[in-house]
Amino acid sequence: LFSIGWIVAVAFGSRILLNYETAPGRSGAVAQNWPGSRIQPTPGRATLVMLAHPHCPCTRASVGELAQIMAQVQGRVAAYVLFLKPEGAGTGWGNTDLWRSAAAIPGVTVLPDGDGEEARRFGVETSGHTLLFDTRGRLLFSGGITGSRGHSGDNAGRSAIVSLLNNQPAERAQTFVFGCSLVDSKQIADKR
Amino acid sequence: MIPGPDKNLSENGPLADRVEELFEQQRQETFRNTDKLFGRLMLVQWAVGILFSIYLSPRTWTGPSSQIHPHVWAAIFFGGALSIFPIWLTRAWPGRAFTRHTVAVAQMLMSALLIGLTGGRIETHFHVFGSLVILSFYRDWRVLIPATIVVGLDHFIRGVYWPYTVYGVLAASPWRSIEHAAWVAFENVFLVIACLRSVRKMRFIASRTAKLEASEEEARSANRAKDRFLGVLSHELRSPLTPVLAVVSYLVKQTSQLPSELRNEVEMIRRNIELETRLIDDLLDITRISNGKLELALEATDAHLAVRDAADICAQDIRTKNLAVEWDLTASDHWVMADPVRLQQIYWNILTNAVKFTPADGSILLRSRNDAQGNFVLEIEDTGIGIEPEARDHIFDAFEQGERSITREFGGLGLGLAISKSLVHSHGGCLVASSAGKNAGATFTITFKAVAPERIVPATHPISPKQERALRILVVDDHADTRRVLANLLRARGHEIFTAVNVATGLEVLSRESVDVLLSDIGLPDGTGYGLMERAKVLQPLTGIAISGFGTAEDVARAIEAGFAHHLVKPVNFNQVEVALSRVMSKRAFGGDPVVETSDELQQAS
Repeated sequence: LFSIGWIVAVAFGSRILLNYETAPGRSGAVAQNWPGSRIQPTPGRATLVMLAHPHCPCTRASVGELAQIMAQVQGRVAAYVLFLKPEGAGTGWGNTDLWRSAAAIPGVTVLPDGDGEEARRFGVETSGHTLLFDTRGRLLFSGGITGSRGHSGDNAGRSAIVSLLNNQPAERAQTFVFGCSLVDSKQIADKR
Repeated sequence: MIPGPDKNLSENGPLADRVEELFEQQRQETFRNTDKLFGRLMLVQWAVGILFSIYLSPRTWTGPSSQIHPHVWAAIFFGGALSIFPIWLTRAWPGRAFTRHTVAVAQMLMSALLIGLTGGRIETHFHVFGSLVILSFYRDWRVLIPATIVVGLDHFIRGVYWPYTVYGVLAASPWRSIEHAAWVAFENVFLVIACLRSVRKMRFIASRTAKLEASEEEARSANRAKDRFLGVLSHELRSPLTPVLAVVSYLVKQTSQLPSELRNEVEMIRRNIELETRLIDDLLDITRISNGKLELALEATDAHLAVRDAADICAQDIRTKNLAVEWDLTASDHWVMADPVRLQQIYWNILTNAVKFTPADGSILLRSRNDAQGNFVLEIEDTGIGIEPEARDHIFDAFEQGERSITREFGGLGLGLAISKSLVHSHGGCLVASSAGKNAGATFTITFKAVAPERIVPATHPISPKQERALRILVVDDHADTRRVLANLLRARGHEIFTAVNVATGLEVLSRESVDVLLSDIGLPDGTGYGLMERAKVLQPLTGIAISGFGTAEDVARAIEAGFAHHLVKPVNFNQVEVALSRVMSKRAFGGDPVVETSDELQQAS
């Protein structure tokens, strides 16, 4: 009886964990063209923007994947990581290893996103959400660059971005995003 | 190299059963120990999982607000669900097959969880290989089966439906799962071989252990047989001496009535019988010491008194050799914790040695003192033949007297010093010998820890010849000469004597005659003196005096248990018998329970 109970508990726990790991975050209403952002796209180069939460543990894998993308595309893209900085956040808010890791990637510019204004402009609600715009500001790709929550490794988002930057067709233009929410629960409720 | 089956260990019957028993014991111990190991390992894995989740993903965020990350809850509750049951099994049912198979499954599930949580990192897959190795510590290859099934199923199922959780890729070929399973099988082949070899080795060790145990038991049995043989031999050697010593000791008292030419001869017979007795005693003592069976009745003992008593015993030999004995007993603390009889034996041995090896007209100095630690130190210094430097290391070895010429000249077995050294050590003391060399004399120094003196209680019932009266005595002994001599000597003392040769005739006498004293041998043809005493007490109230060739502490205890009041060890000096009878009469005159006394105590009293 104990054994059956144990097997049931283990199976139930595995199911819950698997559901959580594979449950994507909200995708939001993503801008299809370059919005009126304070970032100025670099003429003649595609622009990649990742919206991220500096404290989100799941985004660590996304930053790792971004590093791999940047290594593969060798300067063919101007990349930005915009870290959420809520209103009233202290000076230590952005002092995280995630911020430092992103800043250490060659070709990546890290900027704070005051009160999530840029995230709203781009229509992004989940940390790790990555957007790729072409030289004319048209959205080429939108989604996450990890296969599941916090998991590094081969994934559809990374493959798509690398293909597009190599002027090759991408299998997918959209993927699920796995990460913390950039929007607080009150805002989500208001939106609903 | 793993040993093959030992052809010399072809076990059958009880030995085979014992081999199987030992083998199973060893297996169970291995199972239990490995269960314990896994119990701890799983606890550590669980704790480490929680700590890692807290370190890596402590909180999940929603904008500016946060809460505990689900990974932390998963590590606590899911990790707990995975670990607690097998941990409980290792505590509640250690050693059972169900426990180790559950542990195997749980450990592999833990591997699966870790692989999943790390997104199929290839490095995490090493947890599977490491776990399989630790599972092989059970030395039961069967536990690898459920473990392998779990690993295989996990890889195949997740490889098909959630490949990124096991391989970190979006799509995985089924061949990848087969390849992983093949590596697990590859490792398993060697682990199974290792398990089988270990089991074979365990069986080999069990076989050897059983053989050793059997040999040890045989040796013990042989030792017990030897002890029994020594006991019987002692009895048989002493018995013929009893009547001779009894007569001689009686004659020595009557020297005034003997012709002058016979007086020295009688004394010579007594000395030689006593020497013979001493040699038998020494041989038995050295056997007891080597077997570790020497028993000591320790009590606070006056060492000065012991050394004076020992000197008294040697007085005749000292006079004969015209040796000058100088006394310098100045130790203020001269009480030691010792067996009084053995203490006197130690001093007597050393003093006898000094007398023996000191030429006529020489001198012996007996000096006592207390050293800086407050120990009692006795030095016996002689002007004898001395000890050569090369012999100094061996003089305390049994059967060692230095040069062969010394043995020829002075006689003896060379046991006295060996016995003394062992006795001193048994008392926690120290015996050392020093000498400036050949013909320069020797000094033996005996050191004991001094203790507070014992309060002396004066005897309440002094033995007085005035209390003597005729007793009715039954003498039971199968040795005709002993029986006849004791009867004659006791009759000569005015007692009324009955005799019997065995238990049956003894009981027959007791059934028709009223007796005061039963004087009985222990080893009788149709039973034992113990049995006779037990039945005699039922028939009538009497006092028992055991006369036995069996003189160990166990023999004395057995005699007391049977109801004897005195225990005399053969060969019996007639004086000891008289003292014992005096005590019986004293008891009858004054009342009270008889006091059990051994022949040594009676010897001192006589």
